[in-house]
Amino acid sequence: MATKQTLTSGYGTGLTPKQKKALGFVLDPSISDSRDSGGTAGDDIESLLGGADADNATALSLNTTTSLVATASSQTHVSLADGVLGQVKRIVHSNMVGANLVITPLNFAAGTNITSDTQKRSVTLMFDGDNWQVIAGEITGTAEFVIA
Amino acid sequence: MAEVTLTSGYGTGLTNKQKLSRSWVLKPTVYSVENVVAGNGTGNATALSTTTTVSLIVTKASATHVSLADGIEGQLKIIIHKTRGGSNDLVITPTNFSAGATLTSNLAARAVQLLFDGANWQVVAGEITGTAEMVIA
Repeated sequence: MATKQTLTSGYGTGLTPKQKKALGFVLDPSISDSRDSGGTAGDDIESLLGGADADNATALSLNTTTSLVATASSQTHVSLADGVLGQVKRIVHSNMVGANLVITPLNFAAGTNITSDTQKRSVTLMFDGDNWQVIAGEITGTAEFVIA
Repeated sequence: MAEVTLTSGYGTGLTNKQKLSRSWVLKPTVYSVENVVAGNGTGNATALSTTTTVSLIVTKASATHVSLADGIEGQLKIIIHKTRGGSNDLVITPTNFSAGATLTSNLAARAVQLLFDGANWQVVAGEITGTAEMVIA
């Protein structure tokens, strides 16, 4: 069995940032997923319509990072089950025809649901092991993290 | 050996799908996570990991401060104030921060995303100064 070794160099113990970079496969630029030549969404993106109400909400996939959600009359609600620790979910309100989008995570750190009343908006959530946390896009209108 | 430029029906160079095929992609996206209890004051701030993308932070009495050393260019760091015990705010002090000196959160379930630009950490998401878009109820 190979012996575990700690790499050392003139920069100290362990890998330098440059050495760490060399070990990683980096997407340049970063791409969540792409579309094919016909414009069909890749398999890390789903497109869907909201459900009629909270009891008939459309479940967002836990196997794709990005959900593009369109809403219309009686097509307004989506739900989100628990993910795995560290999982990221990006929800884009891609198209709105006269009806808001209501997102209801099963477990949500910041409240009960998230509502969008305008298309072309997005929110990004991450599952912390217990709840979905908002990590980008949700805005309450007042300063949250304050820069001093 | 001569350098070769790949071409296809999509044009010159690699398509997005070709780039994806050359990398390790988690579907869905899953970040690495650490759980951190903040330290007691600026002088005893808990250092956030620069080898883990997400830090979930608990603050409580005498446990309020964290620090963030420089990353590598392009590195993303997500900091979530997961639990706020009592009335103890979270104070984040990056070694080099383009927008100021510290970030302070006075409520749990908040997050900020930083990206290291080679010299400073830049806020790329989560710091809020605008008007309501998605409203939590």
